[in-house]
Amino acid sequence: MKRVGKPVFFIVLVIILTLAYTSVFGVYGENGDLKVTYIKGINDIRWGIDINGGVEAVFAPNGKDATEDEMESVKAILELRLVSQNITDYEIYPDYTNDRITIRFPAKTEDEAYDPNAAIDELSATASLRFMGGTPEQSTISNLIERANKIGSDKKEEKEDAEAALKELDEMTLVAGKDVKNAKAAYQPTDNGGPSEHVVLLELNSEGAKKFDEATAQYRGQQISIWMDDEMISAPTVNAHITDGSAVISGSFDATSAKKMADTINAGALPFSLKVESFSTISPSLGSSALAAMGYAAVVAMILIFLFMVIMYRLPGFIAFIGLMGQMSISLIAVSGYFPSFPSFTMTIPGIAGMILSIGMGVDANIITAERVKDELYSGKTLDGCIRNGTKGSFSAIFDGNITVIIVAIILILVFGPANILSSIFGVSTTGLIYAFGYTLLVGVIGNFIMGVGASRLMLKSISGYKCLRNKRLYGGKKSS
Amino acid sequence: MRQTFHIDFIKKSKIFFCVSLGIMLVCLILNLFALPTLVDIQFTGGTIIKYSYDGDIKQGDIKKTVNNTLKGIKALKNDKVDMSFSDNMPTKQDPNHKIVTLQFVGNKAVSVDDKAAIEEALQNTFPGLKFTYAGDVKKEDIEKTINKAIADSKTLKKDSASYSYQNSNKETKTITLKLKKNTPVTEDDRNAITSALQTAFPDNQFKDQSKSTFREASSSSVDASKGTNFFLKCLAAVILAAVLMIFYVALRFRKIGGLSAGVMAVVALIHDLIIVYFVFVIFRMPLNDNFIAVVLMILGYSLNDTIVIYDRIRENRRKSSPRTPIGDIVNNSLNQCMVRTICTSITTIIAIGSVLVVSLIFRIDSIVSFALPMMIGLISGSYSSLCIAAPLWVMWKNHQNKKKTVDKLDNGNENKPTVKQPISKKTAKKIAAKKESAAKKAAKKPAE
Repeated sequence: MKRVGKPVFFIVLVIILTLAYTSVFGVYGENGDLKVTYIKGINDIRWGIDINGGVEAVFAPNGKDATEDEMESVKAILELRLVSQNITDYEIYPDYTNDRITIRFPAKTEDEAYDPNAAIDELSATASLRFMGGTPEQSTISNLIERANKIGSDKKEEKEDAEAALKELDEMTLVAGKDVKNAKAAYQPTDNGGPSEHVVLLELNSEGAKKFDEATAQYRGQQISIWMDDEMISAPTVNAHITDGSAVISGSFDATSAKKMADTINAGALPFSLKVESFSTISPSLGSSALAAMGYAAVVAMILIFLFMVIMYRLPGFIAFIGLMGQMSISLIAVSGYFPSFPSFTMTIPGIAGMILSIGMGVDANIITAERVKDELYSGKTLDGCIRNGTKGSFSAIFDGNITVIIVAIILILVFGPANILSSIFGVSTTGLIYAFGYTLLVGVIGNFIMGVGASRLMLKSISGYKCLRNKRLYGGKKSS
Repeated sequence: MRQTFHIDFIKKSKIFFCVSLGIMLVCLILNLFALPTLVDIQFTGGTIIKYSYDGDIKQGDIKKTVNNTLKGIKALKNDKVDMSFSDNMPTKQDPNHKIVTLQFVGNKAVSVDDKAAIEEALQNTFPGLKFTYAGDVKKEDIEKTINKAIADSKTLKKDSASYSYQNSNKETKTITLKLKKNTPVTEDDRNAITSALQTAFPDNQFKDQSKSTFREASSSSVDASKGTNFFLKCLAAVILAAVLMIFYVALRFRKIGGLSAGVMAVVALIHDLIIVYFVFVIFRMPLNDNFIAVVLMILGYSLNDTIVIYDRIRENRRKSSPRTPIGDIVNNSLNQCMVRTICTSITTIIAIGSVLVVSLIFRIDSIVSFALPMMIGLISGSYSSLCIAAPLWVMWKNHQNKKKTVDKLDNGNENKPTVKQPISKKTAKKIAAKKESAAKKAAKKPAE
């Protein structure tokens, strides 16, 4: 057997300690006022909605079969809406076979209070902008929109009724959202010389400009009502004949709502109305205590396992624990991404449980090896021979055992993760939480192979080279002869 | 080889089988007659909403408010709601101590707007901060005092309150504050505002009559058809995993009769799955995606255990003479592996046990429903590998061997290919038994 050099133990130990420290605490620097992240630590891990709170919703078209193009445009519009609400940390999964879109985003904790219902409503609103002559009753418009939404219905009468309602709406509409080139929030006086207020400036495209031209001419001196879906947002009186294709929406806006309106118009109207098929909301408070709890559990588990291993297996047990630290570090690295250029994995509570479980199972490899070495020592061979035989003989058992965990982990990842391999038969599901469990299990097993098996054996072989540590008792044997 | 245990697993296998079957039978009876299976809305579809609240509110009043609200909503007019009450773990973000859980009967999926309507009704019926006072105080003065107290508070946001006034009777007047939705109001805040009012208006007997702040803790609504699809998908995942694993075991252990080894391993796995299922039933935990994750995990872990044992059997088989009865080889292997199996079980149980204990202390139900079945499943997994899979396999192998021995004996030459010849069963058994006992005696000697 190739003799493993004595310094190898310390080299491996230093590597593991470095990995452990950096993966937990991260490495940061300062560039003037900004904090620069060189290596990501635990604080940089992206937590799932069951820890941070948040919303998960599945949208489906309201009774209509959507084409792939339409689904794409819906996805794009939803993304624009999320970004304009300052939600950058979202996940969006369209399912083109079943016409579903799953959205997941965390609760905002800083500026606004957690209001999941409003967030879902804003995202799923159809947001059609319509300019209409006069001021029709809200109930009339609301009624028409409700009838028109049934356009995808299977019942013939409902479909025909929907088409009729749609036709009526189109006839009432002077200018629509699709005629708007750009919308911008502004703060300016509405009447010349009057006080400034928050308004939304619309820039119409050429066709829209023409329509608006005709509309303002026709309704000079009368009111034109501006509708967003079934809500009238403004009803100004037409004072002038506007030919340049610019329109102003004024009403009781403040800075925030004006910007929101402009963003909504810019993002565009959805090609059809959406319904929320299922949702799940978790408030931030529920998860934060869970995170602390799991932290305690991890620490307690590590301490107890350390004690157990050292008492049962002495020196190999101690080495096993170092290997375990290495395995944990690899898990953390795989979750946080380690370097700032790699995105962090979304970690959920089952994911953390998976990490803790893989600690318990990772130690198994070391236990099998140590037991083998004990067996060999009992038969009275030399220390080196025992270690050699022990490590060789136990490898097949460790390998086979770990493979089964890998199979389970891969299935969890494929079925419950973004790959969603069974979704063509069974539809997209909204459990992303179990996906994290599969991921941390897989990473744990790989980490176990590298650290629990590879690094541990290197350390064992190397440290047994030291004369002072060659007492067989340290490895579980009886008194050395 | 070093052997610390001398348990005859094979002989005692009947006891083990009886114990397992007995436990399962008891659980089955409980399941059928006393404890029906609960299934989470993730599979059945439905809606569950949890609100946290604080203060002295009668549970009956909450029920009345919710039921009245439902009657007023078109889509929910005919629906019923089951309400249960429990304790909350107060945190900085949610200082409330109580939780009410609404579950809609009949797997109904409730829309977001209707859910918002229920929340608004609850918040309006049991408004946040309420103070009573007597005498004449100017409204602006009261509001100024309260606004200053709110601005001074570290948790409440400035200018977030709106006020309404009532005269409950001639002497006492009530001022109610509505804070911007979902702002948590801690006990300290309430005390700070109360003392600010009492200091500013010492003659007016300001009293804190605050009732509650209802906030949505969590909600979940799943369409029924989606639920069924999800369940089928989980089932497919489990079957896929089981098939892949049998395949793998059969492949790796073909030298000791891979397929039969694989099948017996699966029998042990089914045993473990049934135990996990009964844990959910007995502890009244609804079957949800945690159940599926635990099932898959135990599949992997139990098989891991079983493989370590098969590996040892394979090695011992290689090392011993071909005449050694399989029962003895397996017994030896099991005893040799026991230390390792127990130690690994201990470390895994430490790991998952820490999670379980901590989540019980912090009252995090979702983790308890994950950790408890996992722990019991792990124990069952080790038990089934030692006491169920291996002994069953021995029985199968012996059954196969008996057939072979009969044929070989009949020929009188063990090396020729076997040819079946008619022989009475009784005679065949006698001959086979004699051969077995002779072989056992021969095997026992070198092992000692």
